[in-house]
Amino acid sequence: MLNNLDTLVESVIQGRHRDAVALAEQLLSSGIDVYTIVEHGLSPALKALDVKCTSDEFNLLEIMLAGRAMLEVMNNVIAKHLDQDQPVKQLDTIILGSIKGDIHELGKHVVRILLSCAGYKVIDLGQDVEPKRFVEAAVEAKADYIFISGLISVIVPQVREVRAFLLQQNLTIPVVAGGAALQQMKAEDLNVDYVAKNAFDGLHYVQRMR
Amino acid sequence: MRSLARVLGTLNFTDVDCAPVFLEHSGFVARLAGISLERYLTEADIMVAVKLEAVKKFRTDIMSLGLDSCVEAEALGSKVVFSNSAYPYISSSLITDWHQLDRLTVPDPWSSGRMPLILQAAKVIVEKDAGEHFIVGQVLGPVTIASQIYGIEKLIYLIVDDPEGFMELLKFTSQVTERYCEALGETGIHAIMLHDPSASPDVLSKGVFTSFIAPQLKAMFERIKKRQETYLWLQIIGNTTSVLHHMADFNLEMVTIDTAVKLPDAFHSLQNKVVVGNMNPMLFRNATFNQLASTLRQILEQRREFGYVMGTGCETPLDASEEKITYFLELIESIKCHG
Ligand code: B12
Repeated sequence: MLNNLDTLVESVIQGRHRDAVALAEQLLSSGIDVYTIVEHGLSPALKALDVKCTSDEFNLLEIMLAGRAMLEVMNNVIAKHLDQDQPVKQLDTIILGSIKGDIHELGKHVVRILLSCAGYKVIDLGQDVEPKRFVEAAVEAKADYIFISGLISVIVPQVREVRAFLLQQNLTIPVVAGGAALQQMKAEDLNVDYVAKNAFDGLHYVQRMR
Repeated sequence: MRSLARVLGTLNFTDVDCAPVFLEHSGFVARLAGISLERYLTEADIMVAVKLEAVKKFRTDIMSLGLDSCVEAEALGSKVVFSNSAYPYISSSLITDWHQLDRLTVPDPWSSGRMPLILQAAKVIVEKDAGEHFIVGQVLGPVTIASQIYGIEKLIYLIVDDPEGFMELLKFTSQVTERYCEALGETGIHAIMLHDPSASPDVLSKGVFTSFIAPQLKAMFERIKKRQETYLWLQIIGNTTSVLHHMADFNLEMVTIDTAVKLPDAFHSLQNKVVVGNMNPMLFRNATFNQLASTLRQILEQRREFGYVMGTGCETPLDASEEKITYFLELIESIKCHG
């Protein structure tokens, strides 16, 4: 059976989403429980991508395809078979968006995919999002983090505003910034809690905070 | 030596007094002059004034008509959202399935969206500049137009799920590029820069570039070359080191390389092309004066004698510092021609 779990890991890494879903279904019908599938069939795939993301081997296409395969297994197979008495622990909620003035969205998609794969609830506000909207959405969803993506430098003043809006409401939700322009700056210059070097770095930050 | 002669000499790989200089100032100069980006991008006379002012103020050899990344999609029918302080964007995908391509027609550049305005501005600039500078128009490449009308995330999945559909999309967007190139050529400009950021191996992979994009671009450049004599210039930002050999094989004269590509690698792979680059324009925002000086020293050490334009790998950020740009250009002026 371990072999089949390894095959699932491989098909996820290779982005073969239909094969991955079919394999996960097969594993379930052969008696393997959903928790083992997540632990041994999906998590190792995420770890393999993590290594790639931080090395020269970074390949966006691979990561997006693997992320899609993993999410399809989670949404189409795992979610349907979860044991009501023993639910998978719901991790934190994260508000994500590309900030006002910026329409680059791929980096944000990668972040959404990775965080979702790792079990976080991600609320994606899209592109060109007003600083205030991040805070409103965080309040509405009782979110635990705000993640801001920014690839062009001209949006820096908008990033700085987010914490100011939080403070107006006496909130201390951690703010994480990332993306080509922001990752070159320091957290104190951006008035945020953390600047992520890449998508996995953002994921590790929330994992460390737990 | 006049700027135009300097660039034409460089294109011929002959001796020129100094390497031409090209900085891609677009909205930055409008912002500097306190003009709203929306007006700059939608009014021909402001566009002309800003471009002429930029070349006068910063005294670079090449004048670019590059604007924003929505012109072609807008001409196809996409809705564009403008703002005073940021570049515009497309609010939603024009098509959600490539089969809907049959709803679209290749736009006539003389009557679609902002294209006529840009063509008009190009004509006036050519006339007013009177042969002083090398003038380059800008057209988006097929992959970027596809990403603008279809959505970039969906486009990436399409490549894998339905490569045939992806190629159909590229075939169509190539026609948009070609048709606009033709019209730009009629304005009397010297060159056309094909700007295709979404084709970057940073976004797609080297494999996708090799299998799908390179053959498409190669065929497209051949067709454009058959129809017009304008010099052709390719700009794909990000790290293109792994695909430079494909660019060497395209029928065009100039290639911009971004900071992530090393100058010696570009010179090695692109022996038959004029290489433009590879300075990081973010330095005009973030670097100290000392860092700017050492960047220039490094470029001067690595440059080649013929077929090189000193320039940035992409455009000047809107919030760049005028002081830093002026300092950098004065430094070039003081040392580049004299060793
Ligand atoms: C593709 C692209 C485009 C496409 C975008 C398509 C789309 N819908 O997303 C198009 C053609 C539309 C485009 C438009 C523009 N672009 Co552009 N674009 C690029 C390009 C080539 C790739 C960006 C990308 O998707 N990379 C892949 C993703 C996966 O990488 P990433 O975003 O960095 O994300 C990674 C990490 O940073 C991280 N991450 C990202 N966000 C976050 C957030 C958090 C919280 C965390 C934890 C992590 C994280 O996760 C990812 C994986 O690790 C870059 C150059 C480059 N090589 O980066 C220029 C670039 C970003 N663009 C640039 C510019 C200037 C523009 C325009 C302003 C041009 C213009 N004149 O109109 C417009 C923007 C208009 C606007 N209002 O925003 C500049 C920005 C320079 C600057 N500092 O200001 C760049 C750097 C190119 C350049 N060198 O000049 N662009």
